[in-house]
Amino acid sequence: MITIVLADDHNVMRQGLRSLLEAESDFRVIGEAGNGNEAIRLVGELHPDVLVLDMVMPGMNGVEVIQNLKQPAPSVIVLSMFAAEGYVHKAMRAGAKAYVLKQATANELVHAIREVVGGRRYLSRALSERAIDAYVKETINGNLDPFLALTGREREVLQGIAGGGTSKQLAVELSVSPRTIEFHRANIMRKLGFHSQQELLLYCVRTGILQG
Amino acid sequence: MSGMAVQKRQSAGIRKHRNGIGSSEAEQALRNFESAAISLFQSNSELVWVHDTEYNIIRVSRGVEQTFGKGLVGEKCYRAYRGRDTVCPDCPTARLLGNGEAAFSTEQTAVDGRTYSVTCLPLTNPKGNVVAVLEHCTDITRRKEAEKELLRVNGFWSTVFNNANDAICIINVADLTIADANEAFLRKYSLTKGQAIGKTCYQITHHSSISCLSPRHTCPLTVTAASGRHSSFEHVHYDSAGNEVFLEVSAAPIYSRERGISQVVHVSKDITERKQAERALRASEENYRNSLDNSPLGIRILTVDGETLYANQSLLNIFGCTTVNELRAAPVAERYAGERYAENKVRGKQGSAWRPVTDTYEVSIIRKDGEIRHLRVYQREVKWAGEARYQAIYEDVTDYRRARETLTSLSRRLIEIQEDERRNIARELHDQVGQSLNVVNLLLQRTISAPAGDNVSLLSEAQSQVAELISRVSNLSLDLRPSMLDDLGLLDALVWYIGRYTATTNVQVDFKHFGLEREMEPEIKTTLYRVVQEALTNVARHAGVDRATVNIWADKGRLCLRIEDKGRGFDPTSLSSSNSSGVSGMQERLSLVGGTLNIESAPEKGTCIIAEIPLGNASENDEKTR
Repeated sequence: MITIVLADDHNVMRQGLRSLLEAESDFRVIGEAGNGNEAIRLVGELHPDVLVLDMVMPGMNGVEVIQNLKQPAPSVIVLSMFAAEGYVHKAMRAGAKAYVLKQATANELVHAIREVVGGRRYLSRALSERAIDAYVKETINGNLDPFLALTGREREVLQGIAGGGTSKQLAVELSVSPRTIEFHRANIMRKLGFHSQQELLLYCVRTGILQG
Repeated sequence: MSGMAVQKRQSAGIRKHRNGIGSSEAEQALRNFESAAISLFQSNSELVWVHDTEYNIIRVSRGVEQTFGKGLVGEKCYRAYRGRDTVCPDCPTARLLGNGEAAFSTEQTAVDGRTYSVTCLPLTNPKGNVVAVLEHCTDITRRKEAEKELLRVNGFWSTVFNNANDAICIINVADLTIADANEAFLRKYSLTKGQAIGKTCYQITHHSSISCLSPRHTCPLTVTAASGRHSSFEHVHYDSAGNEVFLEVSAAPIYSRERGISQVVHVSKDITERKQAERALRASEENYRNSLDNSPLGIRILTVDGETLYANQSLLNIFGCTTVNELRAAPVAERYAGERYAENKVRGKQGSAWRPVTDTYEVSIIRKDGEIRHLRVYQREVKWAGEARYQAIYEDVTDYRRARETLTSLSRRLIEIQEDERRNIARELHDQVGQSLNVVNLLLQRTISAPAGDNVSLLSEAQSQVAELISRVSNLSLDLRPSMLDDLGLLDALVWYIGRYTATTNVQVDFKHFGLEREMEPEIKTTLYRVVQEALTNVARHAGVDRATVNIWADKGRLCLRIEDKGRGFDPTSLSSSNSSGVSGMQERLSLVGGTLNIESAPEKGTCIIAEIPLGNASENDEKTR
């Protein structure tokens, strides 16, 4: 006999789930919780084999519930409306054994329960088909070049400064007022995180903006 | 005693003397001389007389007779000349007789009321005994009066000198020592006359051991001594306590007969109070002028004819002029924007003459460079240099008005967006969700009425309708507000959004990010998410490309966003209204969290959006390091 606690803030959803799960002869729903705190309390009291947990609940979300479960914790199956990888990762990292979409077929949830009781992990079919790896790839290590934050005008001014131009000369060259050049210069320093003209020139040499 | 008797006795005296010689020719000569002497004596117009030791008058000159009358011989002299009954207490003869002085002189007032200087000569017999006294009188009444007058005048001038409020001293030119000083002078330097006289003027008035030569201390004494003319300078002295005393010093020369200018009168008038008042006045004038000149508001003083008398720097800046003359030179009609100028003329009321009025109004002006600025003017009547003038204070409300206009158009746009969204949601609910539910309803009805074996396929169809409904509702919800922004954070929300964006638009997004896992204020997360959403939506709609770059990075102080495409681009100065409201929406969102937006684009040059948002704890860090 597999004992189950259901946690979902929607009563209708819980009823649906209960009738679905109790159709399985070896499943028994021994408790229902309407929020995260209740779920933690019930799991502590009833020691079910499986906790079927809604990802998004008011107050405390599913991930937080997992993190607050008393050991030994039951196998957790996260049930969610969201297929976004972020949710999946977060739930799995927190310790969930399965992630099942609510819109999945009833069979999938039953299958997921059997899988986790058997010590395996399970992801909804819609999810496992996705290339979750791509998500990780997009996070790069190391900072992005702050040069990216410079506008085209600011880059022109930086080039001018690197070339040894004074504000006055640059103003004439770019047909703006010297005050505008000073304004750009201040923005460049701020965006690149420099505090002195010297740092700025060193940066120009290092990045090849200043040749020679 | 009669005059004759005195005369006889006198001749007897002379005769006795003559007998002593003992020669008849000599006697005759002597007699001739005697009678000549007597007649000379008697005809003398001077006041001369002889009296014996008993004060009886023996002989008088004609001058005596003319002054005191005839028939005085034989009279007592004190009776005759001074109308007394006894010998005068100041009688020179008495003193002569008393101590035997050879000649004695004194001053006496006679019965005629005049003052005489009396000189006595003793007449002696051969034995040397005084037998008579010759007295000679000179009328010194005029001289005495002159002396008295001189004394009076001296006293007058001395009073003036000593009671003058100005410090006066007389200084010897040769060595600049003080010859005399008045009370005011002595008081000022806390000296007695004795202490002052003989000291040099610079010792006392400058506490200096050398005479003053610095330009600040032009010495009027030397000027006057050299020129011989009166001179006057403002000059600084130091009182006994060493405080600066501002003076107006005048010097006038005193000539001596032999050496030209020997002394100088040095009059110093204390003008410290006046100087201090002048200084205070200047300082207060400067304060007022500064407060006008440096006011951030434009201030102008006008005549009733509209001529500018004064304009401060802010006013010149507002009108785009560099000088007041430049402002004056520009005709009023050219300074004001047409419609506003017309209003202004109407405001002037009085026909053709431009007359400023006292009130508060707004005008639009055309700057020298052609830019139109909106000004709020507060105009009041004032007195300027004693004349009735107008003071106009100009506040440049252009930015305020523009902000107000932007705000108005923004709130209009907000309402439009809200209505658009509601319309979309309503349509989605009605057309899609509603219709699907109707279908499910129909299928379920048919299930109820259908024979038991057929309902499996109907239920299966209903189930797939419901599954589609679930995904529709889910998408609708995420479009309105992605829950992962709250549940998972900015990065997850962006990854999700970009994934869905690429799926629906076929635009590939090169997304690089750094530092987004950190905690951020919810409004900053929302702002950045919406800006990315808006920018990428614009790329898909307008750029006509299949690639875009999104770079987002956060350091401890700020969050930077750069979204770039190599697409069609546009001229940022001529945004279409729907486009521009999207841009101003981004701008508005960013400015609410203190961020900035920069859009660079040109037709066929692609578009680059750079946004910057300061992050909260940066300011905390700043405060800690401060």
